[in-house]
Amino acid sequence: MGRNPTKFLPLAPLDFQVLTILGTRDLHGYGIVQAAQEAFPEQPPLDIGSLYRIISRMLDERLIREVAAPRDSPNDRRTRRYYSATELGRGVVRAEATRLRALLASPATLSLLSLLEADR
Amino acid sequence: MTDASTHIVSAVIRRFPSPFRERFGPEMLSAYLDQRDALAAEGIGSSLALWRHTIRTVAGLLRALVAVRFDQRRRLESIDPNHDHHERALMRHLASDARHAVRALRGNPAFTIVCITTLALGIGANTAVFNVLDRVILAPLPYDQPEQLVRIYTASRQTPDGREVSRGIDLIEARDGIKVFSSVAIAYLYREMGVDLLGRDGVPHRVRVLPISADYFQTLRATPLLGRTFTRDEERPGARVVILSHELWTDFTGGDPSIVGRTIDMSGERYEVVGVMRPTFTDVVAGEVAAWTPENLQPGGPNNQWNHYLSAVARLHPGVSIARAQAELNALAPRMRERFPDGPREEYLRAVSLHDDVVGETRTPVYVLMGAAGLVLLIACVNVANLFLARSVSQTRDIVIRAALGAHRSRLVGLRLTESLVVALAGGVLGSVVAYVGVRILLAMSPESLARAEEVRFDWRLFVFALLVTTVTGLVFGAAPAVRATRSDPSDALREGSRGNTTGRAARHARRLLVASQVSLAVVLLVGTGILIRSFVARQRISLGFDPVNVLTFEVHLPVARYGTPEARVHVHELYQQRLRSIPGVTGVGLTSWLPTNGNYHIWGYEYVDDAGGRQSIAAQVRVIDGDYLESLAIPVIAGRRFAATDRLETSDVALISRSLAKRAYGDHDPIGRHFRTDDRDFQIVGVVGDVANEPTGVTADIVYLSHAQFADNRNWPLTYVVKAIGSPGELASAARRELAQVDRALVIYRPRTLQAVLARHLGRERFTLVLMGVFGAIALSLAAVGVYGVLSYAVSQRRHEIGVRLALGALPGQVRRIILREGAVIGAIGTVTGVAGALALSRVLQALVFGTSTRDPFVFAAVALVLLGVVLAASYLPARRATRSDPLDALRNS
Repeated sequence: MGRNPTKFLPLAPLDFQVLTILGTRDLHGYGIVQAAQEAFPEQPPLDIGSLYRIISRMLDERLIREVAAPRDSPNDRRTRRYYSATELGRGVVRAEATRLRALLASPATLSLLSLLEADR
Repeated sequence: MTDASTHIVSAVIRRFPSPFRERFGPEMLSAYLDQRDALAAEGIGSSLALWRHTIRTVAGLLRALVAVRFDQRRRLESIDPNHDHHERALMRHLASDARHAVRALRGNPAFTIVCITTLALGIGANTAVFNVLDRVILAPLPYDQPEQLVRIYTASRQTPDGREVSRGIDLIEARDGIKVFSSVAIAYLYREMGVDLLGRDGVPHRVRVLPISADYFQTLRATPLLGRTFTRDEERPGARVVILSHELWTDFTGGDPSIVGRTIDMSGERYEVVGVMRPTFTDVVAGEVAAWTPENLQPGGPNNQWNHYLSAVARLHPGVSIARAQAELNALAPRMRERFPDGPREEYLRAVSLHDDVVGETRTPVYVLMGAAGLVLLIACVNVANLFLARSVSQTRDIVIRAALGAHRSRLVGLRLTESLVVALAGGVLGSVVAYVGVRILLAMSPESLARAEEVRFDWRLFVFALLVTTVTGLVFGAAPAVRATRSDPSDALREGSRGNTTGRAARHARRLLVASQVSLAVVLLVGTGILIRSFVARQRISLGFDPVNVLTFEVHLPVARYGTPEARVHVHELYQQRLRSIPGVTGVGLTSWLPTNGNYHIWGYEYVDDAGGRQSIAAQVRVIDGDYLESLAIPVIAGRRFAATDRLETSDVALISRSLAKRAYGDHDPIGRHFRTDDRDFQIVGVVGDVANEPTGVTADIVYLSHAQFADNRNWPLTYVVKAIGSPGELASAARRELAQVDRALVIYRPRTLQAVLARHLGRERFTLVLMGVFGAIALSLAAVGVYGVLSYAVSQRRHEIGVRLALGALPGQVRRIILREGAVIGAIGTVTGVAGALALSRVLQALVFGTSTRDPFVFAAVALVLLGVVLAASYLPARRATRSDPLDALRNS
């Protein structure tokens, strides 16, 4: 690939959620919605429209790719395509997480947070 | 419904541009369906939740749709700058049409305002009434498999439609002995039981507590949020356990999750909290209840062969019909008579569908209102059609000129369509405001008499329906003339456009017809209103047998813990009565166990010896009274005496009986001095008092009055005070509260209100229906007036030339005016005659709502006809006067 993951930063919050989830396992559309709700319960729920717009864009940018459905996937007439993060995608989400962690760990952020805590 | 939502979602998905749609469309639909299935599997798949899910999905899809289209356009434009030229032109046209429409409408504010207001009233009234109708009547009960639920009443051979409370022994027998019942919920609904709950602030509050059987919640398929429900072991006196409603739990304990197992103080006694119900549990039979305690269902005590006091709802086994359940109940009656031979002989239990029972009495008024709202919508549509028709005729020239100059027909029609749409949308927006406010008002006006009113929520379905109807009306009548104008020969139309052309004449006829139908619809509505007014007046003229003026009533219940002996209860009530009498302006203070007009209460056996010396047993209702009860309500003593201060617990038992009971038991003989037995005690009759209304309709009952000072040992009677004052008793409540605190700080004045307010509550539903019909009638009348005025004004402006000629040739203004007025009168007469015929045909519908008056009351019909004709003539007079005011020369020149 050779593309630099940091070129994609910062990630939009929903992109971050989708990419984090697809970095750990292969899922279909509703599976992603479910996993996002479990993993990020504080965040507003992901709707189908936004999800597929993000999927479409990430496929174009090669951050994710379509993979074969696992053997235990339900066999009915509904179309379910499974997606997985590419190496590049994993790199991007890792870079974003590192960036966020550094941001949160900076002394300026910490002192602001402690001020807010004290106000409560 | 599920298919409808799938269709909607697929329709939105189809709007995505093709590469995206082909790649992701089926997947998106699958994801939506997966999500919906998951909701249903979690058990929150009510239609409301599914719709909310669908709406959220559609909103998300629409946002994505816009974004995807935008992305795509940007990409395409970067390749080909001329892309999408056609689509943009269409957008430009639409925008310009909308601008033009708004400008045209603003240029004619009278037309626009009348149109929008008309639509708003029609849409708003319908949406509001439909919402109430939907929730109150059409919606199923909020329980699982509600069709299996039946209400159990006691009826008798004399009153097969009876809906009386039942004996405990019958219900106890029925719940285990009748095999078609899977379970039976028994409750002591009969009298609203309150307890004083010590709040966290240390002040006692009165809350409503419902004593129930162990199977109560199970029958309604409700489970507790915390803890458990009652067991059959707890159906005994002195079981100090309580289940809290979700509301009470949050209000009084702050939603304390560890409340189960702890005790709370209710009326001075400690009750263990065993459960908390879910917030979703609503009780359509009992209404708002703060807490539940177990009802005593042990044989003996209150559960004897005479005491009727319990209500029940049974759940049938799947597939069992109500008729089959009834057959079993019929078979139960003789068995019970065998076991309790000295009980009533003619009674049996009766099963009624719970849904029918709950909405039964509300059904007719709501349907009538629905019909009335429908008429208003119809009138609104007619009015809008009329206005658009008038406008299109005056715009014919404009359209024809544009067409002649080469404007495309689709653009011309489109312009009219846009105008109609703008008006319809504005009407819809305002209408939704009217509907929203309307629902609030409907609920505020009728909190008690509308069954299940607490469940009413705003619903958009009818709003959409009403909006569609009016929009289609606007479109048809707005666009049709435009289509026709563009088809006609331009030179023809231009020549004749100003007057007397065929298009114009046909339209004029159509408009007269429309106005006449408006008038006739208004007649129908107003006749309905008039009949309801007559009925209402008749209701208020009923003789009740007592004087409700300037009487304050409130209840005082004594906690058993501190008032365990009859002496203590008699003492505290007498002490408090004295304090109340000392309040300036109070002329009488009394107590009763049950106020008149509140229906049956405590029907007991009345055993006496008739003239032939035979022992007889009939049913009579017992009222326990004290103090100046009879004087305060001006109930006359016909023979003998009232209760005296010497009638005490320790002296021999005496009673008063009502005149109807005296007549029934003793005929023309003097009952004074005779003895009868009730509740295993012997009473001597010392007086006969006048009959009072037992039902709000004035129906009386056979009543035995017992003195509380003498009968307080029977039970802890919950008593209602009646305080007669010189002036309005409204402000007395706070003084009464102050005095009560002097007697016992922990006692509570419960439900203070004037006796007239108690009576008004019975009239609530009538008043509710009446006010709404009145509003609808007024809307109909004003719309009809606007219609007549509009048509004649337009006719006058069209005939200015002719009128000018007539005046110039020497016609008197009066003659000209008469021509115009005659036109109005003809429209009014046709409308009134057809309206009267329609109202006669529909009068049967009102039958169930009307009391003491005929639904074909000629007075009402005549009055309405006169009012309508008067309004029509008044509306015609203004244009007629304007016609003759103008200068004939001017009229001739300018035409």
